[in-house]
Amino acid sequence: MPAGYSFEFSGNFWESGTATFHIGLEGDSPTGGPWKSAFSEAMDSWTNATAFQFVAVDDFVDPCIARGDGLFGDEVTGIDFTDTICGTAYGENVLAVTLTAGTCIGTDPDCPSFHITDADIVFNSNESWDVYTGPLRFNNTIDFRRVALHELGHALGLDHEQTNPSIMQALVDDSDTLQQDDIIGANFIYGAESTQSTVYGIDVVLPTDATISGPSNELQFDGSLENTDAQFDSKFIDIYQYTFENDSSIDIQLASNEFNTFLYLARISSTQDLLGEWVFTDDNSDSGTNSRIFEDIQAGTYWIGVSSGSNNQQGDYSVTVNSSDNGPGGSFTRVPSGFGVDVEINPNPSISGALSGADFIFEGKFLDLYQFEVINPVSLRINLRSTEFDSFMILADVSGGTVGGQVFVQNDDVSSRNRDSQIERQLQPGTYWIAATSFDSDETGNYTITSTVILP
Amino acid sequence: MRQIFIFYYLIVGIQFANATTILSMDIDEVVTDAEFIFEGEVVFSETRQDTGSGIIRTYVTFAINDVLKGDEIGDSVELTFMGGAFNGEVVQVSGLRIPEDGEQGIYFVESLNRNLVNPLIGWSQGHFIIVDEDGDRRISTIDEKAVTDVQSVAAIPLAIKKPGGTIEGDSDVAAGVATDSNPNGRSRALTVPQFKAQILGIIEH
Repeated sequence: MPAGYSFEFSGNFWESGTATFHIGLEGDSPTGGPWKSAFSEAMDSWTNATAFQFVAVDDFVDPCIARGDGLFGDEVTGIDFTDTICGTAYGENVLAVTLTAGTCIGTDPDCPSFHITDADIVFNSNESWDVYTGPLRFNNTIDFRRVALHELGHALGLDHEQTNPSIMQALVDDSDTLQQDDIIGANFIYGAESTQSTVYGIDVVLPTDATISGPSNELQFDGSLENTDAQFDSKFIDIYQYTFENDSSIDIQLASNEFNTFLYLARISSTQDLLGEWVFTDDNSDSGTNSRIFEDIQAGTYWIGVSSGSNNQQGDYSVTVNSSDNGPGGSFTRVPSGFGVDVEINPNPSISGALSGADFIFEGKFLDLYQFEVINPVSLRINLRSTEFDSFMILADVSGGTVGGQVFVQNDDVSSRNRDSQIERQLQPGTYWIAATSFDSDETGNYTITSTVILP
Repeated sequence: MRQIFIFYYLIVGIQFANATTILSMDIDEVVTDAEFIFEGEVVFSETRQDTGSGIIRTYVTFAINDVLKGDEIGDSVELTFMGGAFNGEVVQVSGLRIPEDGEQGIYFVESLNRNLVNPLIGWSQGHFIIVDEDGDRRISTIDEKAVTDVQSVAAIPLAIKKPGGTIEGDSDVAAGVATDSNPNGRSRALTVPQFKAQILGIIEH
């Protein structure tokens, strides 16, 4: 998750990143134009701002009529004003409901996450509706468009949000548009490029294809140094974040016809500290005044910094990255923990792993341990995600090399509807373990751990 | 305490709930409009799929430990919630929290007979969880906020009362219910007897 944001991902998503809604609602709102125009505007808000695409079809389908194989999840999405929810009473004060349907991911019969194949939205026709902007009206006339905007957020896979300003928040002021947290959330699920701010005060670009897993890759991107960019050492700088999942040989070339380039490559830790042994720079190793870094690097998350050799230079540039794996996985040191299980010293903000039958067994559950260092006091949010088991995470302070370190905190579920695990803590300098395990016994499967710095 | 609470309520009241599914209610409305209020525990649940519509429903059986309002109906009651997982397929209703096996709580049932999406009135506003806090059984909201007070707000003049807003179905409480989201506040949550006494007080008035 990008730093500083706190959207809630339900764990459910559309595999295609697209949903088609049949929006043929007839009639006009009292003061705000046709209902279907308002719904279409709500769809466009998500489509224009995020990587998810809502497609509108101007015809009517009854959201409550089963089609296809007779299941409710008929993959045809509709909207309507109704006085029941497909024959079931709304109940007192219920305004609108989104019904999502899909296919469960994994074998857990409780289906904690699923591929969404259908999302129908019904609005209670017994309530008072209109279309308007600005503050909610005091007479309980509900703004149809902002309810649609919110329900569409559920339809694409977001849960409600309790921390940052968001259209997905249960209690906010009179916001009627998407907020940054909504956009970041949708893009997190559907993989668009986004940015995060760093402890250094510089925005870092998180490209869509930011995870490189080999065995060989070539990627290329273009950019431009501009006077609106952050400055480092009195020079403008752009930073891009990539994660190499394997130890790799990399060849990075930075070229520009408009300025004397300067290239940085720096590995960052879970806490956005630069790992000094993995910091490389180059000014003019390539042709002309272009830059090039050719190195063997350890698996991890790296920032590629594009800057200039002289102050205040601007202009277009292109970056090419060629990488090839030096064997699978990362050559991270593993040391005995004292509990009969090795702990992997892995300072990466992004870790991919798997619980397997070969793992250490703790109280009947398989368990992996990772160790990282905190150099400066930092607020950290750590997420353990899996679509294959109900995750459980423990964060322990083991400073001083003792095995009896204080167990800081543990977490089972992010929320009642999200069985991933999340821990947020202000951490003092020291050594910490993350334990990745499952809630139930004997569960196995792939997982990811991501650590993000929460900025003040 | 009551004055401080109402002051808090009025101040917070200028913030509107937004963009969601359910009109917010007073705790007085929740209590008055609920047909049946009970303390119970989920002892069994199963999902079934309607062969005609394909809609999946979850049928939850509660053991009844105490009835606060309504007729005595026996030792258990079955409530039906729309949604659930069945044979690898799932139907989910946004904002609807289906009580899980083993859950203990205080449940405000809108109707025992009508076919409702969620039989709990006001959804999260009529759904409270009992949690064990250092050996004490205390009251929590379904999104794990400690319930620290319950006060009738029926006496607040309409002229200064918070206008109706909307809430998310699986969050937030009725007006008149004070909560604390700080984990350190859990020890201040009402105990089950304290909460029930407050609810019975509203019923009697």
